[in-house]
Amino acid sequence: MARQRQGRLLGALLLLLFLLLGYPAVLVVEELQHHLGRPVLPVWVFGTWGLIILAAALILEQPRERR
Amino acid sequence: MLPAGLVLLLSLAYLVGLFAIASWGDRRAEAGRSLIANPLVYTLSLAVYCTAWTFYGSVGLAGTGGLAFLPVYLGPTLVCLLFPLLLHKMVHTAKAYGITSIADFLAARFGKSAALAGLVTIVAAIAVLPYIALQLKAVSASIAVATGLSAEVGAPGLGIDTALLVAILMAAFAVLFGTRHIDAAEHHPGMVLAVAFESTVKLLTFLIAGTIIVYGLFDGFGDIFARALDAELGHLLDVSGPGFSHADWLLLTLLSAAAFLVLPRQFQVAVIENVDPDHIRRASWLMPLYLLLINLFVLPVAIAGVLLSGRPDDMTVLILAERTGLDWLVMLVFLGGLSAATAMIIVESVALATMISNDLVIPVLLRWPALGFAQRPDLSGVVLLVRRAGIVVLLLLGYGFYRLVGTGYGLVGIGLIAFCGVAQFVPPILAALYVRDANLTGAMIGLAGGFLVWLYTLVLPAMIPPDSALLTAGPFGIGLLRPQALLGLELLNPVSHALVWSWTVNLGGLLLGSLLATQSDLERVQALQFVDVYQRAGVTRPWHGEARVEDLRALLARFLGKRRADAALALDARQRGRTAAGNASADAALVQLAERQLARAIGTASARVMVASVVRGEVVGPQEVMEILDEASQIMEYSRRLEQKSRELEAATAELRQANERLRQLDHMKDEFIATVSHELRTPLTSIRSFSEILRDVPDLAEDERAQFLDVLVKESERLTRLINDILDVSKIEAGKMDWHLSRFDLDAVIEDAIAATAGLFRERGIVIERRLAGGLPEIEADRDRLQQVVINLLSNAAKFVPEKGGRVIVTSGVEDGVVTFAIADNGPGIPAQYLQTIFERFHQVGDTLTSKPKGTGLGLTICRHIVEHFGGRIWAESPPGQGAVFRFVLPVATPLARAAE
Repeated sequence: MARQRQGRLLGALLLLLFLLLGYPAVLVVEELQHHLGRPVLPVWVFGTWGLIILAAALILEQPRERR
Repeated sequence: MLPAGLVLLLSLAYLVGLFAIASWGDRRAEAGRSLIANPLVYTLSLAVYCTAWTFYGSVGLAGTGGLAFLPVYLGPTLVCLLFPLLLHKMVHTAKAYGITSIADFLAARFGKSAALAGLVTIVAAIAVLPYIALQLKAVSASIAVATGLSAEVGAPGLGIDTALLVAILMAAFAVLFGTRHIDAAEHHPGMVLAVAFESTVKLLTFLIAGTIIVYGLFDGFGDIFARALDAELGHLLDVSGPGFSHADWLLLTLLSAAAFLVLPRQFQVAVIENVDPDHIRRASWLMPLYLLLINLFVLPVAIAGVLLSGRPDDMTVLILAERTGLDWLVMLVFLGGLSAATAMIIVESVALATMISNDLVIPVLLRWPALGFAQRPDLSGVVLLVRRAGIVVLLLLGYGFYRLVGTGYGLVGIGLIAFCGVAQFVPPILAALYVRDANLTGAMIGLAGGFLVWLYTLVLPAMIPPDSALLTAGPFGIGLLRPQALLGLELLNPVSHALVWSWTVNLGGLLLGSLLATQSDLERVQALQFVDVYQRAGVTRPWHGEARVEDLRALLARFLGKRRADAALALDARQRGRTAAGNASADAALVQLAERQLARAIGTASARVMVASVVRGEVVGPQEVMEILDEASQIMEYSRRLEQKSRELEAATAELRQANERLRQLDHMKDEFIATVSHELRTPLTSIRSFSEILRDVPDLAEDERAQFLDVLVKESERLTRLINDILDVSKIEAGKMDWHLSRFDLDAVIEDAIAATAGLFRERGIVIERRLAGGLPEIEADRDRLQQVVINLLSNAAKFVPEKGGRVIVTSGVEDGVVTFAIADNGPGIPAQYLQTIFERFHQVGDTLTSKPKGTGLGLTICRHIVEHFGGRIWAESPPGQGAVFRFVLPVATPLARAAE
């Protein structure tokens, strides 16, 4: 059960990564960067990337059920 | 600039150190204390993905395309999140069947096909050779930058090209630590440890160099980004730019995800070298973290390079390190780049050499009778020699490619071409793992088709001048066939374009071939073994051929050597409690063990051929396949039935539990009912008995007292009769044995009759009764007498509870929403809120039953509820504070056919 839940959570994380760092999210942030004149996109990309890794670590390092 | 001699010395010292680390790793493993058996080393070995392309090329690309370099690292992050599912299954499968390479993996799945293994090897070699050349180019270029000498200048004092020197040293390393044993499925702990060390070196050197460049030459990230915006380099902070769209961003992410999984070196470290599948879990997040860290400084360093030198360059890191004036930093960066390149060269050459040996050379040697190869008594040396020669030839070819054509292309360009080539393995790999019906024909057509499209759309354009007629006008002037705008698709960059078309053809071929052709018996068996690997690994296939143990021993000894062959058979015999010697017949398990042991040395396809040469009869026939399929379907059916039974049992248990609970409640209610009825019966009976005894025992009782006592007797008897009647009514109704006499009538008429029947009671107590009847109500259909009983009961209750003086009862009727309504309100003390529900239960009367028990049986309202509900109505009580009580019921208006059926 715990493995299935872990699989579902990782799947959701994968989807999230695809949404946040894919089209059109990146385009929106890029436009925001042009509007603000500040380096928003690198912060967005690396920040999101880091948070996804953190979430993956939390999911994968949970104490597991005994086999 | 560094002295050329120092750079050479440093390179040699580093490589000697690498040899020492690898040797140490091998010695520790042989002593049973392997250094690679932990998830951190496993993750660092996966970082062989980051080559000189990452170390130098990403900075070069970021200098022109901004964040466009990132998909190459976001893709692997995506695929890492799938590792616990996808890679785990690949590792499990490879370990179960002694897989030695990605070519072997696909060949084993699709009927142990030597043709498919050969095709995969050819595609991989053609795709990866330029990639190896790229590493040599990077090393050569970095030496040129560090020493200030031309890249073509030979290594100082040796008279040969530095790139060639590196190629020779790497070949020596790979031969020493990558081909020590004949068993290609065995781990190479020394090589893996060296690769992990190199991954650490390249990460640390890049982080150190990045920090010094960003905070030494500039005032940090903010300063660099601000200067970029001031210098109108804002496009370097973007994803999209000239020649790179958002669609390219997505497609390159997918391409990199694919490459990370199927590049031969990635397959080697991730699957073949994996010592514990549990390491995959931690690598799933550690690897993305590594990728993030190594890319952290790429963009700022690239922008710094453009700001300071005015142009992007693949060697920007090294150039900027020189600008800091720190010689040690230049040396460090050079070593970082060298480690990135050498790690890739070592692992890639070992992986490719295994494929070339097992899937191209050995099968040809075995099938070519003129060579007499198959008849040689000991082939283990030859197999190792072929593998080692493969490494040397590959690296020399890589060097040759670099010298001939490689110098004209950027690091990233060559790398992406290779990525797109190996990405052709992704459709068959996924089909191999998850689609049971995918077959060899589909895999061959798809792979060959995708490979040809890749050659045409990406490799060919890279080898001819950009303004050639083929590229600009298409072959024979057919514009729709232009290699970089096939069928008019011009929106994408060349790599994305090639990926879209090659994958389309590949997938289409796989699908079409699988639909049109049927699987062979062996393919079906292998499909089951791969797709259901978690259930089937270790299961012996049915087999009815004939083979002798000694024949198998001799066969194994020819390829593995006598010592290893004896050891393998002895171990198997011990495990299964059999004798390993003599002329005994081999059973199916032993034949499969022999085939698997051979597969670990020469690949699945060749192993099958060799085993077939000493076995009489077919290893797997149609009958056996059907048995396997039947067994599989029987197991599935059995499992399905078990699940069904389990579900039914669960449901039955739940029903039984509910029934049991209901029975307990009923039992409790029965006890309570008997106790209450007994109590209710005893009270009038006690009274009757007491007064009867007085009348019997006291003959001189005064006449008026006698009359009074007789009056009590009559009243108590009446009460007893009422109680028994009510109990009978309740029992009949609840048992469904009540006789109902249906008729249609007007509720107002029933109310009038009920008021008339209780008029005496109201008059006697001076209670005012007020009628607010609607008149002209629609008819209802019910038992008139029973309904009158309900109204009388409610009127009697009201009369009982209103005060002696000023008692007032209002009776109302009406119709709304298809129901006839009735209400009786009194100005009595009302009903506490907590009793509004329970008063309709048996013997629940409001008030203390010992001190102020109301007159009545305690069953009247229960009967009322049963009667009203029987006719589809509802009854309830309301008691607004200080305003007495209101009892209401509603009954449905009769419809033409309503209740007729009843």
